[in-house]
Amino acid sequence: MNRSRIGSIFGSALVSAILLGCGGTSDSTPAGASGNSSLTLSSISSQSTNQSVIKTVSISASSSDGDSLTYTLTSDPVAMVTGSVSGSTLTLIPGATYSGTATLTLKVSDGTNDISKSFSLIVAANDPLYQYQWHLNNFGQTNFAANPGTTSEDINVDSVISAGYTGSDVIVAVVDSGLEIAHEDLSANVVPGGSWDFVGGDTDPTNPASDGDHGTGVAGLIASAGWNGKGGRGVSPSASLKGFNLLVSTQSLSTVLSSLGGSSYSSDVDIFNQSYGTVNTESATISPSVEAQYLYGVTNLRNSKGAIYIKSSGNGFNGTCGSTGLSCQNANMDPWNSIPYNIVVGALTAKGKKSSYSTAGSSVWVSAPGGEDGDTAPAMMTTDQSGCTKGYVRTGGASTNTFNTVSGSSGHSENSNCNYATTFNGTSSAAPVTSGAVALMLEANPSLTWRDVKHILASTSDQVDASISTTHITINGMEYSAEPEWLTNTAGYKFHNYYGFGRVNVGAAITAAKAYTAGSLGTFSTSSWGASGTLNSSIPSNSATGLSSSLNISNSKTIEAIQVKVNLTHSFTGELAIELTSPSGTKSMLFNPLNVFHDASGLTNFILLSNAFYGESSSGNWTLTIVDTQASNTGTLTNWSIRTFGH
Amino acid sequence: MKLLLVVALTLVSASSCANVEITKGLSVEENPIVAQKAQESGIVFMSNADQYQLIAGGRAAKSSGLISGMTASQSQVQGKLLWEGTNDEFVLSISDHSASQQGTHALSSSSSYNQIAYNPRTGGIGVVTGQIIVSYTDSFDASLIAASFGIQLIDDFAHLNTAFYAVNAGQDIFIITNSLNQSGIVSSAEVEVIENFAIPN
Repeated sequence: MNRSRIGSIFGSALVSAILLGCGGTSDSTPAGASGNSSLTLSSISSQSTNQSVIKTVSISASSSDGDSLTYTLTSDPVAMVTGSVSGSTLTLIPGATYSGTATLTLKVSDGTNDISKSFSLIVAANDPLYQYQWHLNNFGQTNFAANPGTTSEDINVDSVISAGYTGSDVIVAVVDSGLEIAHEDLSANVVPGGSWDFVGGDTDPTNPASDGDHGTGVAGLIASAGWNGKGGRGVSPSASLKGFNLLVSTQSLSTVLSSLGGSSYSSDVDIFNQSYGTVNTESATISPSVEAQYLYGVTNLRNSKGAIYIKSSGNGFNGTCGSTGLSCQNANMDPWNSIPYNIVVGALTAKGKKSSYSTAGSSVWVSAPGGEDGDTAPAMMTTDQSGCTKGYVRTGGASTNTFNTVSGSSGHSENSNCNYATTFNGTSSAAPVTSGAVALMLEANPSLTWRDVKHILASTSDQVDASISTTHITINGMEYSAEPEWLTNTAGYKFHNYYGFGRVNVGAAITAAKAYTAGSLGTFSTSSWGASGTLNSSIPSNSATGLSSSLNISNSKTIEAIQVKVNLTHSFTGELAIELTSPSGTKSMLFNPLNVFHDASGLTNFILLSNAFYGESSSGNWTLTIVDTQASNTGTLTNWSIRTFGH
Repeated sequence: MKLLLVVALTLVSASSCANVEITKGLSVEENPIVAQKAQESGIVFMSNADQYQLIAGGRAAKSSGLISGMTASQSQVQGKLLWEGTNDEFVLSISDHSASQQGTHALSSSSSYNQIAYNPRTGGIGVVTGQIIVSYTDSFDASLIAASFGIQLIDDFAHLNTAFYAVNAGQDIFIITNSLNQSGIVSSAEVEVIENFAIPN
């Protein structure tokens, strides 16, 4: 781990004329007690902050003869608050576990005289379940599972929270199954009247189901209220929440468009969290109107800076494909993942590896904690439907660890009202963790465009599982790379189909966001489709070499995403691998073989997206390779086409 | 391919399936009842670039709650149950409640259930939402289209030139959609079918 936590935030701001923790003094004003100098220090009013969140205070001190000043801060209780002075700014740092009212005394000295002022600092209470939220601060806790995570395998957010970024004034929509707007740990952040219930036609999307509300769990990961003495903490604990219960509606196109920024109640949303996916079938399509809504959203919402669309990659790595070591479903099988306006997120365990279920593919942008089952390995601690008669934690419900167990009508001692669950997981969790991270980025730099956000995430995310090896299969006696290891493209970006550009590093992203000149990527453009024309080329069966076809792109742009559209016939499409190689030689596995597709009708206008070429030049020959990994079924490549997104 | 097609298929006699038992458990592709009842309706139409056949006696109900506006008694299947299946949270069923009893105009805004349609290409069954999706030109706004055809404007996404309509009781959604397409005042109109639902991850 190469991380810069708190030191990077304000280490450079410290000056040499600082003394800390040197004992207390009473409030006194001996200025000018000797000599002719006059030393002054203005009174400091009572202050307040949240636990572990830094507070800065302006002070005024001077020496009439220009002597350099030194400061000493003492606290009662002793050492619960430390601090430093730089110029006229006093920085107060509450201890990580301290809450209450501390009496602080600041003493200033010019070397001859000194003067002190006392004031109080109210430190608001902590969130009792925060200690289990390994995705925020991983110190190897188990979160009630049998096995712990690994220290520091988290999103590096605490330094950002300490610096005062909490997601304020950023609206995140939970497009999901519901949102319990009255939940004790969510209500403070819910936009009053801002949600929409497609079932009842009102503004309360609280899910009436008794067996758990997915959306309420998702919302907690984004913006459980902070420092209220209840539950855990969202990644962006002051972000504003709206809920659109698309998943329990009829899912008509109008509800989809409304949920994604097409209605008055959704047009002010900054970030749309989409912890859902379509069932992966060869026939799955995305309506052109949905794609148009995404384009409208990134073009027009947020005062034309573009809304941020964040989506889970899917939970389909395992399945009916057997133990191939390859993703049974591929992220590109969900046509919503193949839209470049979405930031597609894969899931990570508390040990910093791919979650067992996390759907892999070249359309993944980044990865974030999503956990495992909460039984053997840690899942996510988040909000649950209130009460012990409904929710994931309820009387008669299945419990996989002690926290989720309900005895009689009461929950675990730390969850007696059953308002929280510790077995939430999935890429459904990874997406809201990322949404919360982006909320912090937008607070740090509200001018960021949707492309700036993607760029910063790609540039600052951490490579995880760096030593993961290529997954090979044998085709007719030849070794074939069916899921490549981490690649470094010619623009210098590291990419892996499991992880995208890596795990979100909030500290690094905020640092980059603050320094970033918004809109500096240049004008975005989408090329027209470059088409191969009719090929009808036979795909060699059981051949690691496969069939290759090239297309030339003459227009040079810096790639932000690539889409390929394929038409082919094959009697068992899940046997096929589809690769794309860029003009500079970067190879991306668009569609891993031995996947769940089994249709005999081939692929029709099947669109695959790759982020692996980010930053490379578009001009030159692009080569598509189709590899049939098995002997029994045959097919032909009818045609293919390619288009680029970038600047 | 956005024009609505209303094609009269060869009707299968209702009596031909009178003794068919419930075939729950068979996949859609394996089940002869689905294709048979799809042909029986005689209604073929385009939606989202796919061709669908309305399934006679078919209906969809939410398994985790009733569709908005539907009462418990209304959700009960009428007639003898021939087939049951699911699509996401919808329980799909086909009964021998004949097409003539049900009528092809059932998809008005006052309907108490959703009908279902068969996709021969995918072998899947989609839920007919009861809405008409209209892509319109700048020459006619969504309200004017509603007034011209006597239909209800449900939602208008002017930034996409797309509007959603429902027909009134007594109106036939397929005839109205066909009329919209032939009118020349809209770019396209289609009866909405949802075959692939989003599910939580």
